[in-house]
Amino acid sequence: MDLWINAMQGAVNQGILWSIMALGVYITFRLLDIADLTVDGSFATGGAVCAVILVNGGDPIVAILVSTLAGCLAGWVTGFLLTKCHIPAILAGILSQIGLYSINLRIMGKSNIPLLSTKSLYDWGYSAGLKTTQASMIVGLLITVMIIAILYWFFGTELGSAIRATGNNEQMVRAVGVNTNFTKLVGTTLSNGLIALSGALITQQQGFADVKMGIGAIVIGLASIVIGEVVFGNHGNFLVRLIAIVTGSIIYRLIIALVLQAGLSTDDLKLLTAIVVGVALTIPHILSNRKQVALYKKLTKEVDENA
Amino acid sequence: MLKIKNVSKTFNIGTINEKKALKNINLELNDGDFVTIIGGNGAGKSTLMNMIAGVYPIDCGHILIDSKEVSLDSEYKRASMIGRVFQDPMLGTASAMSIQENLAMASRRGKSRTLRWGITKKERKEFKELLKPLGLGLENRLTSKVGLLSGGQRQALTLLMATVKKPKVLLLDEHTAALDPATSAKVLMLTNEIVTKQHLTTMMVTHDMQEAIDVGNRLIMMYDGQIIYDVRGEEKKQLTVPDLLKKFEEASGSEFVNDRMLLG
Repeated sequence: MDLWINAMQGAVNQGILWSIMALGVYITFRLLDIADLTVDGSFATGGAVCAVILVNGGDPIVAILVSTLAGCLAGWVTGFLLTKCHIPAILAGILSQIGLYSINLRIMGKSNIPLLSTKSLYDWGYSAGLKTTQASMIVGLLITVMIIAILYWFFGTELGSAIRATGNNEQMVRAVGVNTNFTKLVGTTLSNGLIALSGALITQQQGFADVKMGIGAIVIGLASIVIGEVVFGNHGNFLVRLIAIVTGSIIYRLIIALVLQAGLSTDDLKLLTAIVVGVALTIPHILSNRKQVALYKKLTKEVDENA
Repeated sequence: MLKIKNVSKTFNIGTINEKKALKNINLELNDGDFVTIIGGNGAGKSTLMNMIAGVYPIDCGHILIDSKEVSLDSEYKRASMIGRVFQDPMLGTASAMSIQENLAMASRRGKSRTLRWGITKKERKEFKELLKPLGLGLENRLTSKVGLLSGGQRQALTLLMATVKKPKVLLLDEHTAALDPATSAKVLMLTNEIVTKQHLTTMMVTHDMQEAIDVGNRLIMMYDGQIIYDVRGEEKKQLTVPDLLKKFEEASGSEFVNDRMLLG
């Protein structure tokens, strides 16, 4: 039983820390309506920068801030390729992602950096008598709440509204005098900053950075978003949507933990993730289709009976 | 207010699809002029509007708004001086955002977007007052998503958005063409009201010749990338649809006006 509780606690913890990455993906995928594949690279960049700073005796908070800035830079490059070079979004993201693989190796100097006796954000937990999982869960939750508050504020501002509108109707946004190249650039920069922040938090929690740690991150981000949408419904105000993503991220991790406990091999995880995303994207369509057919049958029956 | 000097535009230069869309256009609009533009498909009406708005660059010539050269300015920069309503009701508004958010964005046309809150309490009140005269009940649906509105409602809203911050030039590109006759008449009436009240310099493309005669103080007919007829004031008021058809025959040299001109 203890094993189960531990596994579930670990899953919730992972879900919270990874949810910041999912919030970043949400900015490009849903708000800007761009499929930005930089994610897999910028997530590892966050981890790489954080690990290098920590092994050189740096402060964990500084490490997180610098990692976030590095992610912003990566996102800016993607935005630059997208807006100034007019490279299609998917290709611009892939170019950044591939380029970042080499850059991440350069940053780390090797493909894996273990963090053995370095400081971490979660150290205070020991003195407070908490387990690492619990300490990182509390820290992760605090940071996530802070990020949600910042995003809620930012996307309510003049600039934030213009970014949301850009993904909705670009022509209208230009007609009201907003430079859509700029809004896209801000969006990709902000998005990848959050993704790298999440990578840095994960690195401190798992105690190592790996150049391959970002592989599949985009799909995990999408999984969190669509699971959140299935659970909360695709409506509600902006704040509810952000909370739905965090919930989606936690549910995703719980599903993974359950199937691993049930004996699935970790090698099959990526396939499982792909299936989860596919199913979550399909469910809303099937449900609305069924609802429509049921309504048709009911109303038609009424009409026929009255005739 | 608006001056167009020797403006030409050719699409697909050097290919088999080469199309001279505008041929040396010269046009000057005075402050408060309300010009209606008619002409068959491919005459260059929409191209002219798009050139003024900066959607595509012009090949040569000058476009001046309020004596300021804008020929090389990008679309979003010119937008600080230009209000636009498009033919497609879907194009002028952001469907996933609320009525008040759309109006708030439009009322900041030409201003840089800061980190101030996107909509203020004072604006909410102003928007309510602004929407009331439409008689569409939108003043009670400020937080409704624009995607829930009908085409006519969206077009009326777009018109308000284009004029909520007074533009130096208002461009209406067949903005009533996609609406049913009753809604179309309503939007046209609203257009007339706003333009007159704010004394706006306006260009309106239409396919309805009677409408082109009834509205505005000046009428332009385009054919094959050129302005072939330009009439204003009393002379315009005396015009009839048969007059226009005759003018078209004379200027274009066609034996009889073709059905494209009539039907749009």
